[in-house]
Amino acid sequence: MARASLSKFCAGIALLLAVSLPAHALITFPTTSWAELSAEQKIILAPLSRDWDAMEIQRQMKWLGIAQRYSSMTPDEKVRTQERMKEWARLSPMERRIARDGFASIQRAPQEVRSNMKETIKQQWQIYQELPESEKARLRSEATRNSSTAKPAPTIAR
Amino acid sequence: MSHFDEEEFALRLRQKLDAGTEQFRPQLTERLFQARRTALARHSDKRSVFPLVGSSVLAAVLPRIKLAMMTAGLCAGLAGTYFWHLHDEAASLGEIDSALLSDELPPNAYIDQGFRLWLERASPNSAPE
Repeated sequence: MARASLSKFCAGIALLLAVSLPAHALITFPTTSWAELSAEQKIILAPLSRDWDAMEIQRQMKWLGIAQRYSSMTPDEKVRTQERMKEWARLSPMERRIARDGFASIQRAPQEVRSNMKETIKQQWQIYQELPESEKARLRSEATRNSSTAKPAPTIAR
Repeated sequence: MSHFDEEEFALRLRQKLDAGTEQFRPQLTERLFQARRTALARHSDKRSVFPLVGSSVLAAVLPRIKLAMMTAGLCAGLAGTYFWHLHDEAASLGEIDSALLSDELPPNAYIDQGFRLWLERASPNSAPE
């Protein structure tokens, strides 16, 4: 009788822990060290070499997936990917989410609209880049003030 | 065979055996007695040297081993499911990040709030959502 109560108590505690704590607080999987990567992976992921060993397993898995796709990219795409890797890895989870959402919203548009939309935004981005830094800073500041009145919903960091 | 017959039979059998035993030679009786004593002593030693294999202790430990194995199985299942979830999510993030990083439009174009505002003012319909 007492043994059955103990078993139920243990099971209850285990269930409570499982539902009340996030899984990553209970389980930590071993990550892959930079030294363990293949020569090809090291060449592709070279911009991340300094940050690699501190990355959590999911980000490592994601980058290894990108390294796998790298071989099927065009030379221009390969250059752009490597140039942006380091900066991308150092963005905050919120910034990465915003960028992904923006990119996905364009990808969801119909093919004929998407090409025009991307071309327009690309041209506008180039024009914006040529604005004086003071003007860009003013716009950013104004945008921040506007967004502080309408805060985005909190999201899970990825 | 009735109950009475059984008892009668057992009584007669015992009498016959007792009578047979009395006819044993004294040396044989002594050897039988010594053998019985040795067997009983060994039985007693086994119980005192290996108390853990006693059935009562085993009965107490077995449910705990079973519970520990069930808990270990549950943890292994939980870890496996979590790993599969991580892997699945990493694969989908890798797909979108790969396309985003290799695209002509840099990620900063989506992040820069100043550009978003400037774009909205320049052409209200073309700002990326």
